[in-house]
Amino acid sequence: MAGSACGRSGIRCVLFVCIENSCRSQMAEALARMIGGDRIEAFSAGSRPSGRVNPRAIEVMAEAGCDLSAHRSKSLAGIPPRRYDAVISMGCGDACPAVPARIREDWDIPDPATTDIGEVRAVRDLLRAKVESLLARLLDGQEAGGGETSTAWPPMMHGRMVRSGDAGREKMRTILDLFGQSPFRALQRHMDTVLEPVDQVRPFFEAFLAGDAEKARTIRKRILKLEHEADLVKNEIRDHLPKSYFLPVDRRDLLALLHQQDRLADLCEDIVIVATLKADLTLPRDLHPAILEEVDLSLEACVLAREVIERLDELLETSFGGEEAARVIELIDRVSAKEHEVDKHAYTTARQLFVREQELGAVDLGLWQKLLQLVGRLANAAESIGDHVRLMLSR
Amino acid sequence: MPPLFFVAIGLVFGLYLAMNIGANDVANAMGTSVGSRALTMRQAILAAAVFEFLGAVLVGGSVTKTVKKGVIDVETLSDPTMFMIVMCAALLAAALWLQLATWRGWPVSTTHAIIGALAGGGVAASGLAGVSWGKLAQIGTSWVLSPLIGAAIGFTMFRILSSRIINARYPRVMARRATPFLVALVVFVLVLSMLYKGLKNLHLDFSLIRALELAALGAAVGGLLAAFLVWRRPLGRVRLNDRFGYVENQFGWLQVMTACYVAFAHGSNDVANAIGPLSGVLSAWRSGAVRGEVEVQEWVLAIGGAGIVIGLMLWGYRVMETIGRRLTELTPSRGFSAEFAAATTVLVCSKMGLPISTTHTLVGSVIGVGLARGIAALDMRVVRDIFAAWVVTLPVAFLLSAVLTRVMLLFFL
Repeated sequence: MAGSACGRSGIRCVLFVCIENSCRSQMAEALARMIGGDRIEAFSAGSRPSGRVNPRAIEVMAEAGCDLSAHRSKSLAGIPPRRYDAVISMGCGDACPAVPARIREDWDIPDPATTDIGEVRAVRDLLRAKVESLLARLLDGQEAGGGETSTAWPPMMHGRMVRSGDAGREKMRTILDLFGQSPFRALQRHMDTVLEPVDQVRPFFEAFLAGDAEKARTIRKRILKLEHEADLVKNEIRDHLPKSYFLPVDRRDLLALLHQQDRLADLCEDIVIVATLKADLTLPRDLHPAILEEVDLSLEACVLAREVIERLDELLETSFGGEEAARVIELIDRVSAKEHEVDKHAYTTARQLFVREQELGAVDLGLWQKLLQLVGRLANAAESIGDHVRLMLSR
Repeated sequence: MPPLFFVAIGLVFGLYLAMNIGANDVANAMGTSVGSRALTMRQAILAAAVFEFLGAVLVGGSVTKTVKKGVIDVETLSDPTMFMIVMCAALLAAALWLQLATWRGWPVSTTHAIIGALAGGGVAASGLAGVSWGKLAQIGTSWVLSPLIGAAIGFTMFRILSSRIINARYPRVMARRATPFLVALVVFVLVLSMLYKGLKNLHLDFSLIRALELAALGAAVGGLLAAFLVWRRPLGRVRLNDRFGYVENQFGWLQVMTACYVAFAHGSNDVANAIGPLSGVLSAWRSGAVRGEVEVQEWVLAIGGAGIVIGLMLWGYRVMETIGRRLTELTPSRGFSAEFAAATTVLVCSKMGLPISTTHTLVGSVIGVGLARGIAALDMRVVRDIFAAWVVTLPVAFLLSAVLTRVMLLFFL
């Protein structure tokens, strides 16, 4: 996940796969880039790459205002290993790639291997429609057309569906106005966003303990920036959750859940701030593993909590009941168990620190105790997240 | 003034209303299917055209009769010219109000406009006695009840589907098993409504027993066909992260059917809004008396059906296009439940000769599914707006039609 823009608020990664990576997936990739602008990172690959891009594809894409001539046909092995938001295959049969992704679809689009340009054009138009729909889904129903870009949560368009053409009739209110923006997908996105600073906590401690002040400062800066981004996403969700929404869960539970998720980012901020308060704060080398172990355990709890949040999709599908709810409850129990483990480990680590009181000095000891506490609170927040989902299930 | 003049007015505004119904309401009838991607826009337009027309011609008679003679007290208002004037004024008033509402983007109902306008015209022509208040009260009650019934059916349907299929231990297996039965259910209701007391115009009036038999036969054929298509294909391996994709795909097929069902029910109920008054004018003109023939002629219904189809071809296309770009959180299983509930409610009301609002019933049904925790977010502001438009439409249409009736009486009588 590190090093890629994927998962950062607003930017989505899509991979298109076909057999030769010469026509269909190439066009889809280019269309996704054109339509999605800087909110989309698109890639394409083939299971048996032909090594060149179909000249007809270059021709019809040029008609659509897009230059494919510099593109190369690539193999699946050569794609960057990332957490893709969507992997789309074009009907590749048994050679479908085993790339992990949130959305996996097979579009079953015929291979226009013939030289008939009309057919290639038809495939282009079909792909354009499907890519548009996919991007709209990925970007939470954000209008996919046009070059205008914004990473903001899409504003609702209450009864104002005005586009070009006879605006009068299109202003018509229809039954679809009844459906509001799903707050669950927004929650998932927020969770992805808050996990980014959480992911930086371990590298921060590594650098900090190793005495690499330069690197620690860079990571600290990054965490503060990511925390701010998470705040923005949180505010957007709050602003777009009007009281008039009728939800399948209690609105208060939802907002409380959002608050707990946001605490994860806040805690990361607190951790790096406390750690950098005193310029010469250090720790004897033999105590490093205990601290890092505590960090790791807490992070494991956070990752489990993220898994719970990712299950919101399925929970919505099963209207928060049945087998799926039981499975999520199990997962929540695992978060609780992990939190307990974190607490136990924190206790032993704290005792270890007190034994070395003379060596550490009272101020350093106090700061390390505080840091230990803050790291443990990450797990507490993760547990709270699970508990709020549990509340939603028990209604 | 020659009676032919009123026939001309009736024809023009009747067609105008029918086209408006086709243009605006079709978006509500088919929108959920397009929104959940069960149908493409083109398919939705085609299905809507065919089934709206069929519904209008086959089952539209009862409601048309109510709109034609149920609201106006024909005992009091027995002068044919006066009757024709009231009908024309009502058509005109409803058309004007609808045009304003469409322009302003208000979610008004054609049904409410035409019933309010008829009542207004009746009162203006011969005082309070000119309206049969009993029937009007019955219609008013059905307006309150139809969304509630839709909600109840939608809630129940979705609860059953989610507990039996979606929340089952093996949802894909259950969905595969259940699809043919659900197809049979939809076909059964659809055929039954077509045959029982329908098709009178085609002189194919079946008794209940006979209609039930034939509906069961149709359901069996539909179910077997579905079984052949669904069960022939192997289930395949479950894909990670997509455990419900197959289930929703099955409902996608079912939703195509319920979309046609909604179009059929909509045609059967809403054709009367446009064609009821026109039919009244025509029969008064032909027989020279208000109480002439009883039945609504099929060619008048066909005019209404054609008007709806023309409307949806001309403008419905654009409304649907806008909808096609909107994406909803509505998955096919939810769409199926809501559409089935709404169409069944509307069709039963059509059979009873009650003009109700298809849109309101569908909104009620969707809320029913929402109450069963099926939908991510419903914006209740829209419900409030629809309710407000409902409250405003009645008095406005009433007054407008009353004024128009007075003016026309002054000039033409």
